[in-house]
Amino acid sequence: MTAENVLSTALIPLLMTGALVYFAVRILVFGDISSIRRENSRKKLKDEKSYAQAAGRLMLFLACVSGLMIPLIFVNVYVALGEAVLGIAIFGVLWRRMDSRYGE
Amino acid sequence: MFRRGGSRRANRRMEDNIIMKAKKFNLKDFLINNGVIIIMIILVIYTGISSPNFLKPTNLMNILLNMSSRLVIALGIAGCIITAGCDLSAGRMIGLGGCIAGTLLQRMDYSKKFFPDMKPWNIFLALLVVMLICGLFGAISGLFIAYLHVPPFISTMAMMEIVYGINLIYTNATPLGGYVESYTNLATGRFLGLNYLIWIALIMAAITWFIFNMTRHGKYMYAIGANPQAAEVAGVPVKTTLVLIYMKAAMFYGLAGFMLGAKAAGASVNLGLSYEMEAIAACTIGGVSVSGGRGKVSSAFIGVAVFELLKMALQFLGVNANAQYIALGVIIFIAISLDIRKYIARK
Repeated sequence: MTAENVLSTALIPLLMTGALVYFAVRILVFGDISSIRRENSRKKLKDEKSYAQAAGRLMLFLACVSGLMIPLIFVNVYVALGEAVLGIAIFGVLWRRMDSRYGE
Repeated sequence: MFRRGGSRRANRRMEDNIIMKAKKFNLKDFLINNGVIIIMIILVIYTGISSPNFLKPTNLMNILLNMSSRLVIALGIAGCIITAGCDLSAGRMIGLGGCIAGTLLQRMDYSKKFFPDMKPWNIFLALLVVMLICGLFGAISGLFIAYLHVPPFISTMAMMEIVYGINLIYTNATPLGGYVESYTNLATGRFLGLNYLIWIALIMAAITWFIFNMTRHGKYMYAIGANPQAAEVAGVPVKTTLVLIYMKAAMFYGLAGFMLGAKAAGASVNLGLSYEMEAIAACTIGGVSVSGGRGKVSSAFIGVAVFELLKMALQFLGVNANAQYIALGVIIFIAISLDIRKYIARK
């Protein structure tokens, strides 16, 4: 398996993992939530610090889901897709819960 | 602000002065706000002078043909950007659309036919299926954004991964080809001197203009982009509108994939890779604001035209293919920086 082969097959999950890790670190370390919330998007946050921590952790979780998809694509594409769909669905539900707890 | 005791005429004069001051043409602001477009126009003029083939009708027609599918993508993504969102799944939707269309429209005598026993479909029926499937995925992205409050860039990125996985499974990562003539004719046939693909793009632009300007949905879209909280208070169905916007955008990407498949007479899972970035950049260059609430069909058209002209000009100037990516990246960076500057100035 060459690097070119890995890139041509798993470029999308690789990019997504990289982007999510970047934003997660930005949110967790610097508490910068501007990338996930607009200034005038919704009502004010109940607790900005807790929101940033929870959102950062959830983004790391999604990065893990995406990262796990990379080796799985080469083992079995069906398993990789199943893992991604399940992970993203769980992420969506957890995000909603987090948003209603710390967000609005 | 106005003198209480002053005459009505004095107050009117004062009001006129304020309006005149506001409307006063500021050359510096104009140059900064339209800097990217001006530089590109200069570049195009320079390329036209240095290599006369650049402005020949055949080359201009070629640019229009390249623009057609990009315009459809930009029109879809413009709706998302107007609501201060974005859609990173566009490229993968294009790939999915192109691959579905490809598998349904292969010739019976093609040796590597994907479904060996299936007769090729009617192209309109295939297009409908492509748009419906892509629309379904777009609606799911919209549901994530509207109902689960997941930021648009995360939910569409997640959708990008899912759609890519589905496309890998569907096509088994094999390139498709051997299309029926009625499909490839879309890219070669002409009506009133213009290619069919250009006509499709123009029709989609007209439909989008109608949706943006003449429908309640369009008004809601701008209201959400300007201030979602205020829109919600004003009775705008924010959630439904968001779902519809992402669904409509995905249907446009499906159509763009269908068009690109016809143009290339083939498709693979990597069809449309990174087209979403180009579309977002084109919209921003044209004047669709990434901060939301602003943007027109003409903005998307200008952005796509400028972007395609730039790409062609760089080719004609003999710029290295890798260096072209750097040039396009710089243009995107400058365009978005200027857009943010405009947003801050407006605030």
